[in-house]
Amino acid sequence: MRVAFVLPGLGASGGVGVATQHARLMRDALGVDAELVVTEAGEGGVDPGVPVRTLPEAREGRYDVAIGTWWETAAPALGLAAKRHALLLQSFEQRFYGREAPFERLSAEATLALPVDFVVVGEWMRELLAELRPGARCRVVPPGVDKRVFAGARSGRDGPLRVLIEGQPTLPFKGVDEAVAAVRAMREPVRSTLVALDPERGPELAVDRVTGALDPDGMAALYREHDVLLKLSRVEGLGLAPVEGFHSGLPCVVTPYTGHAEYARHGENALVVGFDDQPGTAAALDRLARDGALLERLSEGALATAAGWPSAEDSSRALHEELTRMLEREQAAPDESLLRRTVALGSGLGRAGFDRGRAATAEALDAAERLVRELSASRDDCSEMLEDARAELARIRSSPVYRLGGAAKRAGRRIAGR
Amino acid sequence: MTGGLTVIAGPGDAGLAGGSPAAAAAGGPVVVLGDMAVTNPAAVRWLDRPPGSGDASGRLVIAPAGDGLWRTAPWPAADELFELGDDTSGAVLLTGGEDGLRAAIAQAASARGVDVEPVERLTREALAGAAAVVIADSPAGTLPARAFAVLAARRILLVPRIERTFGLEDGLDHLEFSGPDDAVTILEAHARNPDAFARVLTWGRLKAEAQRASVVYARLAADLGSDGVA
Repeated sequence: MRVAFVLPGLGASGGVGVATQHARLMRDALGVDAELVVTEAGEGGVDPGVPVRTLPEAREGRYDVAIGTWWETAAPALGLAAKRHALLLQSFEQRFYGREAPFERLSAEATLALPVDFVVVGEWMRELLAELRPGARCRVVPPGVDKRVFAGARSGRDGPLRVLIEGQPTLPFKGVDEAVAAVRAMREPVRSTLVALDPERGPELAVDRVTGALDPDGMAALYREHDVLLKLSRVEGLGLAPVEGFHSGLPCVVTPYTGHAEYARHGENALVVGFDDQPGTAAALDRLARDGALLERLSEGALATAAGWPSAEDSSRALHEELTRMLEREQAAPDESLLRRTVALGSGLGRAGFDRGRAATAEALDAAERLVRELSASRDDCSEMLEDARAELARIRSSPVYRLGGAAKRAGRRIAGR
Repeated sequence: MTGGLTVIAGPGDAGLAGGSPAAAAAGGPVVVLGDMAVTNPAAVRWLDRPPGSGDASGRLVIAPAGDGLWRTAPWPAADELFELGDDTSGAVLLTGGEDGLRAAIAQAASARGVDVEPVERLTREALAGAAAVVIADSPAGTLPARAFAVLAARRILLVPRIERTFGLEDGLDHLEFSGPDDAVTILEAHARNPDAFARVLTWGRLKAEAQRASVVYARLAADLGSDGVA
């Protein structure tokens, strides 16, 4: 079997990491001729351990399955000569764009109507996709965890609660600011660490330590050095960091982001707090700081959940099985009805957005015109005042008193000159 | 009893956020929704607005916004609302506490021939016959307390621009408007093609799951227990 994973690039991100791991394990353990196809040449990233081709190079080849891994790679994947096309959906990616990016939103959402089989990372995504696109062929393959790396017990606590905040601070939907604020609102002693993919790009945050760009060994060591993982994200497909932490008995405090229910259970391995609830989050952390027995119970729950989570090899095997099944079926058909609905909604809301923009522009134009009129009126007033002043000056200069004064001044200068 | 608590609410609010309209406590810590008067002291007062200087101090207060809160949260969504069937041809309800904004939306809708039905107070019965609900309210820039009831019932939710969304995403699971005309433009798009908005309903209900009353009240009871509030 020859498989192409089409990626936007090899830069560090959770999504690229999952796809790359699948390609590597399918190649090494399952004898699949898996390779990565990058649509954009870029710097950075680690050696993926599998062949990497550019899109023009890949267009020369033939594949059994071409897999898009991000909405912008869906069209390039469909453009490759392959028996089957699929999308590895790690999030509903229109959620990464706000109202200021309606075209990206629409394009990302439209990929759900493409003639592809779907592989998703969580059961919630399968259920949602089934509602959005009834009849879509979809298989859940949770990302696996490297059980050799993410292992070992947490170090014992002898002092303040050690809180590990996970998330990229430059992405507002990761809730890092909220996490930092919640830690600062705690009453009990605490030490906090922020770990991010790219910590250099983050703003100054009030934490005790900032780290990031860690390899799996570095992340595993970090999990073992902390008592609780704090993740207040708003948008996730799954959010794998808490699962990795579970493998060292690290429980988590999380918001109920999409995907959290795949592994986090309140009072069993996690405390689930409300979105935007700073006092509630601080109280949950304080509770863990005070109640060692609770922390221990959650830690045991975390280890139990980790024991049932698939290994990286299990996960890639499941993906391989699904790709094999895809080859036995017909290529999926597009969902034109979904596409029409998506475009209708996008254009309906887009129209409202443009109306807003037009109204704002018209308002700004009105304000500018008002200013110009005021300035023009001011200029006219000034001209009039200048004319008046000149006329007054001329009138004064021509008056007998002024002329008499001038003659007296000249006479005075002559007398002084003698 | 709701998840180990007694939740007391006015008749209309109980249908939206769970709880019982009975004023007598049945057992467990008492949580009172809104400004409803009760004879026995409540462990928790869960307001639908930021607390003001006239609110009694000394009790635990939950509200969508404000200072000195025990928890910051909108109201939960009653479990029964998740069972309501769709009604894409239903009315557009206009409610909310900002009277000026509500009047301006009603006027803009009337001028553009869009039917909206003003309702003084949102209830489960009113929701049952609605396709969309405009809540002209954003207390302190926050999602209105009753928003999750609308989403649980699979109705389109329109609210003014808000800062604190409690996990909601504008354009995905609810729709925010910048002013009365903007709200009416969205309502026109919905009236033209309600099927296109099915995705917003699906996401809205999914997001409301985290606010399901039985889940929220059970966690609240556990929190009160751990804080020693019997």
